Amino acid sequence: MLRSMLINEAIKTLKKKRTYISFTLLFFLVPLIVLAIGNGSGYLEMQIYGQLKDSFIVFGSLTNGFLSSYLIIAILVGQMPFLATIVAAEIVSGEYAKGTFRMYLSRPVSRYKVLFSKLIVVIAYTIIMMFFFVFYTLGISCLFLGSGDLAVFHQGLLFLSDGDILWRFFLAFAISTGVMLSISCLCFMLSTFFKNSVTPIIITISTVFIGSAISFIPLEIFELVNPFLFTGYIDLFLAAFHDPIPWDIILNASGTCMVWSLVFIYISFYHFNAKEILT
Amino acid sequence: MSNILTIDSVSKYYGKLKALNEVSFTIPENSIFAILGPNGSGKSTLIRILANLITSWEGDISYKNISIRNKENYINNFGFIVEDPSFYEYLSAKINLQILCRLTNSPFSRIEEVLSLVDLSNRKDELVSTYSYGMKQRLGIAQALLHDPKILILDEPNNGLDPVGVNQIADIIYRLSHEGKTICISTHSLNEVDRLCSDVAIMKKGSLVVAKNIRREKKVKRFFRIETFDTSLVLSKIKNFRGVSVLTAQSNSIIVSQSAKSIPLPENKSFNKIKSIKSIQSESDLIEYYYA
Repeated sequence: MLRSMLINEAIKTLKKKRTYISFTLLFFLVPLIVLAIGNGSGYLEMQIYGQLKDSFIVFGSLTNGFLSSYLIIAILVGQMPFLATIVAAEIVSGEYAKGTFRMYLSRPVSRYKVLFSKLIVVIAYTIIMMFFFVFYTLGISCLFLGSGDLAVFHQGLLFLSDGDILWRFFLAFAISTGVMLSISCLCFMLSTFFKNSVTPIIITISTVFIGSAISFIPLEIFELVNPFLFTGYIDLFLAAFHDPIPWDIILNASGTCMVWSLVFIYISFYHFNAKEILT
Repeated sequence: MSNILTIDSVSKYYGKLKALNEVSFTIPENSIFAILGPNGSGKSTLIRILANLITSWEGDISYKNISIRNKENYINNFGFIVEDPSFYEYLSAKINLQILCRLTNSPFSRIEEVLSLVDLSNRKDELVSTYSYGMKQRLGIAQALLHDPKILILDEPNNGLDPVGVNQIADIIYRLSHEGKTICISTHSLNEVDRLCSDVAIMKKGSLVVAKNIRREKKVKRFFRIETFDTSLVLSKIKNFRGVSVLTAQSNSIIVSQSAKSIPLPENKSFNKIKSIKSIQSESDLIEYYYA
């Protein structure tokens, strides 16, 4: 039965145009940014590494596919919560709004299984979207700009050799996906409460916005709270490019994100199971 | 005839509002049963309870003498249209029905059968968003029949339909009844009940007014709706007619009951002499309970 429900949810999601908004946006946006980085590499290097000219003599160009990917992910990861909410916000609330639950739930189906199948689709969508984001960016960047060493700032200038980079992008993907899954789960939970998809998106994005603000404002109380908020880890993927990798911070962040996700999922199931379908 | 469904003292509160107040009646097997009542009478709430869309309620409901509270899969025997038919409009009718087939393990071959029953076979591959309201209503009946239920519960199936659509739905209901299905329709139309149904439960403000078989009952009264230009004048005149009593009077319309033994009002010469009468029409016997 669960398999049938998963097929149903997959069909419903794949046949909706809004499912492809994130992919379409990234598909066109990333090559444009890569081309812009390629064309303005001289200026870009001067902006990033300019102050180091007195200490280093650089032969060739530091701009390559890896640097381009690193920069694009750093720039766009903050916007990914918007895209992560597209499916999650609508997957339950859309059925309330259109009245399709009247037809779907008046059959011999377990509400737990119905919600679980929807949750699996939301998780799968978030993972696929983040995978596409990270590795499409990497693929396009390397295609246009080639590969090479990656120079990043971490306790000074850190050069990561060509062969030491790819696994770090996989780690960056895993870290950022963990945070995005918490955001998706929050939006999914809100979707079980509201009869429209706009309100879950607004509340989720507002939560991310406030949480991010807390992590940037240097107040003692915020610094105490911040490690327990999943919103403070949106840019943690940068840690994948540190040497050594701060595994303790990454594990703590993963634990925090997982706990928040489980709380959101538990509330979703508790609420949905008792919910009276009156629309 | 045995009872297929027994509603026993069912109550439902929304906060302090009592949407259903200890409603009890039985639905005979293979009947066309109407739940009749104005908006807000509790018809849809009762149907939502049956459809498991409302999970918290009081009282008991038995399907073939077994409480539905103890029988998780009772709903396999039910097919529902709850309120307007709602579908995934961005999908074709066929894909919509495939989705529902998967939930009840019904074979996909059943889709063709139910679509031909409601005369939608030739439109099955079109998006539901391109369907008219009447077609969606028929598709609603098709989805309710997919798993071949014993009892079909249709919430206001003629709502928003033109006369052609109403006739199409009536034909389908008759056909299904002849096939042995029990059909329960909720409606606020007395004519629909008179035309289609064998039994009725009349509800008002969450309570049951009466439940009865309308085919077996002998007529003791007849009912008329009088349209008039001057309600007070007509009221003053008709109170002198023997066996006639006023059920309700509104600005331009009066509903009266008359003993079946007297000459019917439209044939009464004295009545026809009253000025300011626009028209007089027979009304359903059930109107008495409707305005009770």
